[in-house]
Parts: sequence; structure tokens; C-alpha cells
Amino acid sequence: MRSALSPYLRSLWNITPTLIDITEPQTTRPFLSPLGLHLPLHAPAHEAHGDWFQAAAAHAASHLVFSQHRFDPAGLRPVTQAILGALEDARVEWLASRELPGLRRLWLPFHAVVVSDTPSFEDLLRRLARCLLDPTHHEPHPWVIKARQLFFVDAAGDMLALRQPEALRHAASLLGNDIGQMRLQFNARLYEVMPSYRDDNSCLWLQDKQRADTEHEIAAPPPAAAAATALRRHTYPEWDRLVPVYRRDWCSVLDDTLMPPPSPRPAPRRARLMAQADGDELDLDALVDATIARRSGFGVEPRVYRRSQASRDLGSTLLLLDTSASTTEVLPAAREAALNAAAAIERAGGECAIHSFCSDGRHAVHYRQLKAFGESLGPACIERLMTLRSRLSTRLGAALRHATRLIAQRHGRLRRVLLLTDGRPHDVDVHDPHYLLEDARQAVREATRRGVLVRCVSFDAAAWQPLQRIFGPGRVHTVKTLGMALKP
Amino acid sequence: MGSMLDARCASSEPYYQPSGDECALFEAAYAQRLPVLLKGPTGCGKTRFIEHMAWRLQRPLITVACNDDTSAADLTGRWLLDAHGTRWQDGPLTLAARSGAICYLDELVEARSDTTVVIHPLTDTRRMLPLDKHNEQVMAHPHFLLVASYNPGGAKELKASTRQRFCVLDFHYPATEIEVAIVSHESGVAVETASRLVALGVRTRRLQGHGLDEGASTRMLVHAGLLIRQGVSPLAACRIAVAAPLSDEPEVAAALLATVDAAF
Repeated sequence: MRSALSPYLRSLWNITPTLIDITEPQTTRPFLSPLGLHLPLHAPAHEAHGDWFQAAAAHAASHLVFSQHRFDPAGLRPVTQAILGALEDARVEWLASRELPGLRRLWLPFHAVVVSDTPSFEDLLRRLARCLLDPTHHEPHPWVIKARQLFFVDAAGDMLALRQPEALRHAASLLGNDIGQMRLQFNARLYEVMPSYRDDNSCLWLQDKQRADTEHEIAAPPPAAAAATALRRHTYPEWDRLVPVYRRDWCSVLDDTLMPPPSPRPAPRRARLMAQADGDELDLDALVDATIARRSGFGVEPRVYRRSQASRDLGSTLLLLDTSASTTEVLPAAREAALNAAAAIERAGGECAIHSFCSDGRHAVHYRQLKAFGESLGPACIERLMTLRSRLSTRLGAALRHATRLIAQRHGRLRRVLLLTDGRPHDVDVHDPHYLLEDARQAVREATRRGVLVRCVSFDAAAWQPLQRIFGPGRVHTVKTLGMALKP
Repeated sequence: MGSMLDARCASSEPYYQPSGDECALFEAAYAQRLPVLLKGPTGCGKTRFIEHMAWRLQRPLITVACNDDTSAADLTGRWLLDAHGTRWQDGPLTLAARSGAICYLDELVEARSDTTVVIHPLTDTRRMLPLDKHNEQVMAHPHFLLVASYNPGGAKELKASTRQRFCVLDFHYPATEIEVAIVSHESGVAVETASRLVALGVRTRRLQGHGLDEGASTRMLVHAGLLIRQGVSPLAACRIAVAAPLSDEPEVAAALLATVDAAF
């Protein structure tokens, strides 16, 4: 569900806060900062509901949409601050669910009913939160009833009384005084906003100093200290899943081959089909035969038409070999499979190219065209293939973007990139295991939008799951034994 | 022939809620017999608009849904064989040109490329249709008009030589209040429910370009409304008529389902 939060918030409120992972495992409380919405990696253990992230995101988004005012904490006791936070939480949730009633259904399961004869202040706050979200809920405690009467104009809870920040602040002060008179204890240091999907409300208060990290921004990469090289450098963006933005000109793909000029569009080959049951024109020979047959009493032959039909377009196929260090064992099988496939495709009338890649950090994604489009599968090609060595890493996204760019210049309706790999993407300068995976997934989507099909053949059954995530369901084929790949 | 065309005249006014001055513009183009191209996303009311205009102008409407197998002969006509020999059968375009109907080529860009060339002589001052196989030049009836529709979001593009022959009416999803009226009228749900459906539609359209090629069309919202009228709960109706048809991508589909859940 986490990955669907971005489109979820965009469609709900047309906002796109940056979703940021909280990496400290002990912090499970979401919070809002000028950087965006910070969410823990996992939902709190006791919240077994699957919708926790959805609830947390929807609540934080309600703050972003409806909490415009920043309160000054000066002169407010901690109890009053906590109550003010609870009232503001209830207010934004009420406003949000007026527009999207289903949100109430989403949040309500997290509001457990607390029953006790001598409730603590925290218990009362939870009961208040529940009662403000669900006005039909019966609540006997006089303090909660009073808070409810301050919050709503009417008994049914259809009209909000506390519309202005000042009114909210005033109500919180009144209720805070009552808590003081009830002599209920409150420990501000241990206090946590309840229920757990709600953020810590730090966004409601004026901050003394801006967080230092607001100045953090993604700087353009420094130009690589590239040695003078004859290789052609193509720069591509990379998708940063955390921010999430494209980092512009982030990766350099080194490809020593000249970009071929776009080939002239081949004339569509049309096949003329004779003696058809349906067609644009009459087929004279078939017509004469049919007329003779009919006059001779042999019945009616309906197949007297001819039509022309475009011959099947086999399109272009780019076989992309992963030659990273881990492929040592499978590379011989992979390249033989690629050779066989290329020969078969060209025999059938399609065009095919074999390219390979490996990477050494983002500034050096090495890309080789072992067999270019239109090049015959001659000794030079085979030699290039056979001298391939497994080395370095797998920066898949950049390689896919380059391959997409190359094949997008080919004509024909069908253009596909087939990746032969042994596992998930990896590179020396990336430590987040999901980063390159999400970037590759994004690269596949870009290709799909440009009308290029991307499929994957994997030589490692264990890598099936991450590859499935990159390429989509049904688009990864796993070769179980190396011999299988060599079957023509 | 006359009776056949009469059957193509709408007997009652097809419901159409104008978004602007498109009706007046179409009438002006018709007065000058200028071919019209209706451009816009799927399900925003192009087909309903032309049905409505044909009714207003009291012209029969001949609709051809083009696909990638639609050839020139499918539009102009072909020789057929019957018990007495060969017989020429006019295609829908020829029929419309002879009889003065409005010929509506739906999704023209999907048709084979020879098709688009066939309509060229009909769309300029010549206003004629050469039928080389029948050895005939059909001069278009004075009331004849050619109308085509085109969804620019699709994979194919219309050739400039074809596109420049048409006046283009740009269609979009209607403004919110108008769309509420349309959904309410077409499906029969109360205005309150219709506004919820339209608000959901607007929300899905925000994902356009962010995982969706197109957001929910007015037609989809009408479908959801019809299901609600049938007694289906709004939540279930929007799940099957709006969220599920929009995307197969798991992430976007999950977000859409969650949006539907939040909306009702």
C-alpha cells in the first residue's frame, strides 16, 4: 500500500507531499516537516490493520489541506497544547470527511473504545477523539460531553462550532482548566498523540528556528572527472524513489557506437490474398470458376473476393545482456541464447540487435552494441559476443533508458527490449536495496509510454520477485536450467 | 432508399448539454459545409454531440466506427455477387454523399491509411467522391457533411494533410456543474449522488500523466450512476465502473480503489 500513497494523495486532494522514510526503527510516529510527510517503514506492531499507512497519509494530508494556522505555544500549558492538538486533529478530519465520507470509515477502526471508571487524561483524550470523529458514539463522561458541545453547534454533530483558530485556542484553554481541576496527571514528555496513525502535530506550532535541513536540496551532480575518452557519453535522469523526483542528468552511459541516423521507413509489404470469402474486390479467376460451377449445378462457391493485407510486422527486438560480475556462470548460456534468438528473429523477417551493459557507478554505465540493427550476424559480431567478460555491476535503469532511446528510432509498430539478466540491479555507489529497483521500474514505465515493450528473461529463480516488481506481472520469464535457454 | 435514411433520423432529441458555443459553431460550419473534426478524450460526449446536431439540423446520420481493418472499400462500396451476377453496393460514405446525410467517421485515425485519402476529395471544394471501381464520380448532395472524431491521446496521429481539411471542435470533460447535470440526467440518480460521482471523476483525472493516460470519462460516471440506480451500493458501483476499468497497474489501481473508498 505504501507505494500507492503518492497517487492516492494526488487524487484525493491534488497535493503531492514528498513521502520520506523514517529510518530509525523505534520511531513509528508519522510527522510533517517542511520537507514533506515522514512515514515509518512499518506500521506499529499492534495496529494489525492493513490500512494504517492509508489512514496516516489521509490524516496528514488533511492537515496539509485544512490546517493553515500555526499556533504560538507561548503561554499555553502542555495539557492545553495536547487538547488543542486533539481538537485540531478532529477539526481537519471532520472537514476532510465532509468531502470524502469514506475517510471516517478508514479512521474509525483505529479508535479503540476505552472504558474505565477512573480514566486518565490520556484515556479522556482518546475518548474525545473517538467521540468527535463519530458523533453517534455514546459518551457518558461529562468532560468529553462538554468538549463535544464546544466543538459542534448541534447535537447531531453536523455543524462545526470551532471555525477560527482563536475559538479553538479558547476552547482548549477551558478544557485544560477543567483537567487541572480534576487533578489529572499529565506527563508531556511521555505523551503521544493517539491513535497511532495521527502525526505528532508538531506542524501545528510555530517553530523557533527553521529546521536546518530545509536547505537540503538535491544538487545537480558534479561533472564527473572524466578522462578524455573516445566513448560517447549519453546522460540520463535517474528516479529517486525517496524524494520522489528525477535526478536530472544523473547517469552517464558510455556507448562507443555512433547513433545511427533513423532508417528510412520501409515500404509496408502487402500480401494479396486471392479467393477469399470477403474482400475489397472481386477475384476474377475465382469468379469465373464460381460461375461455371454454379451453372453446371455444383452449388455456390462464396470465396470470390480478393483483398490485400499488410504482411505481419515482426518489428524490432533489442536483446540486452547483463554482463555484471555476477553473471560469470550464466554468460556463456546467455550469449548463446541471444545468438540463437537473433538468428531466429532475422530468419522470420524481423530485425534484431544484441547489446550488453555493465556499470561502475553512475558516471560509467558501459554499454556495447555487439550487433547493431541491420548488421548481419557475421564473424565480427560473433567475435564481439565471444570476447564478452563478466565484470562490474548492474545499473539497470540507465541501460534500459539508453536501449529504449536506441530502439525508439526504429520503425514498425512492435518494438521490444528483452533483458537477459541474473538478478536484481545493483551498483557500487548505491546502498539502498530498493533505489535502483524503483529506478528500473520507472525506466520500464517510460519505455512503455514510448511504445516499447520491455520483457525480462532471468537466469536466477530467486530474483523472480524483484524482477517481477520492475517489469510487471507476467513479464518475467525464469530459465530454470541453463540448457533450457539454448533450446531453439 | 428514402425510408432507409429516414430510419437513421433520430425520432426524439438526443440529450446533449452544451459546454460552450459548440452547437452554434457546428451550425456555422454546416452552413458552409465545412468538414468538422471532433477532438477529445474518450467518453466526453463527441458521439452524443453529433447525434444531437444531426437531430437539430434534421439530417440523417450515418456512423462508421473505424478500426484498423477499415479499408477504403468499406467506406466507398464494392462489387458483390448474387444469383444474377455482380452488383455494386454503395458503402456508407457513398450512401451519405449521394443522399445528403451527415457521415460520421468515429475514430478516423484508427482506419487504414488508404481510407483517409479517399475522403480528401469530399473535404475540399470539389465535394465529390471518385469511385474508380464503379467508373463513377459521385457529386456530393448539397446537404452532405463529413464529420470525424479523433482522440489525440491515442497511439496514432492524424496526418497533417488530413487534419488540415477539417475545422476542429475541441472537446473536454464538461465543467463540474454541467457534468453533474449530465450524470444526473443520463443515469437518473439524484443531484447529490451525481455530484459525488463527478467529484470522484475529477479526483481520478488528477492522476492523468501520473500513472493514468486518461481519467474517468463522463460515460464511466454515467455507468456508475446507472448501477446505483439498479440498487448497487455507490461504493461497489464505483469500484467496478470507475476504479477497476481505469488501470491494471497494481499501484495505481490500489490508489484508485482507496480513492473510491474515501469518496463514499
